[in-house]
Amino acid sequence: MVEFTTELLAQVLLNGIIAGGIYALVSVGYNMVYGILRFINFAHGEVVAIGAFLAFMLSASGLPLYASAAISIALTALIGMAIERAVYRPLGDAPRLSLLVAAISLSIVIQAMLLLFFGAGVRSLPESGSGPASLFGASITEAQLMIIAASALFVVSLELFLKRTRLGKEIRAAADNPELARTVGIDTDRVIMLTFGISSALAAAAGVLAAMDHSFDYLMGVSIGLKAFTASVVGGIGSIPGSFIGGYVIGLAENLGVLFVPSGYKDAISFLLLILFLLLRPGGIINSEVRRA
Amino acid sequence: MIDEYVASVLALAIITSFTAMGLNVQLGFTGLLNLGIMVFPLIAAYASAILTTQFGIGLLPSMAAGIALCGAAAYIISIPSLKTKGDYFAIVTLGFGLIGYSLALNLSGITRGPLGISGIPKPDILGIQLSDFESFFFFSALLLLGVYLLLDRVLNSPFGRILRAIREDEDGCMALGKDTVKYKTAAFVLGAMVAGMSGPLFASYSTFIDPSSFDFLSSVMAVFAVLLGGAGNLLGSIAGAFAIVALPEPLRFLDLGPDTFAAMRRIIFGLVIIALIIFRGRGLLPEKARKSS
Repeated sequence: MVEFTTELLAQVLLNGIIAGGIYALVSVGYNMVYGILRFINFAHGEVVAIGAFLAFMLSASGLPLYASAAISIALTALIGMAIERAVYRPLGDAPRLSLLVAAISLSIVIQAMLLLFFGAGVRSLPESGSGPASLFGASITEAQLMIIAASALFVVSLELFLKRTRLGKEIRAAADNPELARTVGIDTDRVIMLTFGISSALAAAAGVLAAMDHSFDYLMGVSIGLKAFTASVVGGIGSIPGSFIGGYVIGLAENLGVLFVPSGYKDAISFLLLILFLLLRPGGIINSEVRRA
Repeated sequence: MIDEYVASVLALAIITSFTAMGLNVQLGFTGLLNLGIMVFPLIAAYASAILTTQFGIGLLPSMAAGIALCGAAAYIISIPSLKTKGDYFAIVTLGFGLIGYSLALNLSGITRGPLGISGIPKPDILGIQLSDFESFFFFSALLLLGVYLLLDRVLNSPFGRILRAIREDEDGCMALGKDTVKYKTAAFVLGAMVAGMSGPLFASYSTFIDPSSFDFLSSVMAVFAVLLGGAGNLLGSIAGAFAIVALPEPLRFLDLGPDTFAAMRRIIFGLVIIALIIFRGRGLLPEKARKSS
């Protein structure tokens, strides 16, 4: 049995917040794409891994860590847009399940390509900054502080972008009613591509941040992707603040849960939450309106 | 006389055919995209492996017990799952698949966790031990033929027609006074039991099981097999299973190493499925195209 101490509790809460920040960043992408195309972009988790591996490759070639991170985020955004153009746009208004299966296939292909190019070994990014500092008895590294700050910053600026700028408003209009958006002259194809670009950039940021915190392999996107998707459902599909709340709820739930059940069940906790929310509150915490598939 | 290597590949393809046929009952005939089909082979495989190795019960009665257990589990899983539809159903079943996998990995007192269970006996028919792959192939092929003929009858009966009607237009079916949930439950349980048969067969075929044979990737491969062979086409599922199992075999002779082989196999099938979905459009998944609103 785990002995409860304030140090342990502080560490667990901190771990939850760190994981939550990563999930929130990735969850935003599921939400934006679902909002506009009404399908679960199953390959989104693999985009996280692409971001991490690109940064790994660039920093291994001698670039400083932060430059590698920035280039990787930009490149991953381009890859995300290319994927949209090549795979999802031709599917136009095909049944949603076809899109889901295409996305699953794509996720398997990306995973396998990462395995092919980088092998099954575990990688890590170079250490950044100083060693761990202490916070209420819990230890925290510079990379982890970065995760907390960066994820909050990215999510808040995305919300501002969507609410305040013309482009952001176009994205929301297209999500709300694509036909109407087209009639008033919004180029929905461009908006969709942009949506993929933004969500891929944020996923890459999450991938780089996660890779700065701990080692990773070609499967890193699977677990992060599923947790982040769960975060979207828990927070409320289609809502950016929902992603934020959902991300932290999942991060905290899986880390606190480990105090009560063996750590091997960490993943199972979030899948259970996913199923419970889909059944009991499909609109998530934020949306009171219940959406039926 | 068949070469032992060829027989081993053919036998594996036959075993996979049970999974694909069972999934086809759900996905192809009823329109239920189950992303966690491998949880049923998992349950049946572990049940029969434990009964044979720890209780000394023969393989055939253990198999029957495993499949019965599978049916009960499918009924229980169907209750919450069938409260959702479309992509939400896909995600809920994915969740159950992952929870089953996680339980097999963590309940080491029962399943021996990642170590797996070894020493599972080969089938014993009327005192004749089917110890080589060739006789195993004929045994499982005979079993497959029986199950195929049975399923073919069931799916061409009025019951099967109602399943197809649900797939095409569930609301219309309800308007005709059909209790669609009851029919979907029946299809789900029937499909799960047929898919479940592959579990004990695989356990006996390889004399060893661990959770990795029943992971999400295997569930996706089963979906690929059904789609390759044609959803709603039983013989197609057998063809699809053979394609998934046997077609990549020649790659083995290139001496690529196990990781590269696995990666190539996933890339090829993933891309083929994406191409199928893009170029065959609506015909692939038998879901009525609805405008996303």
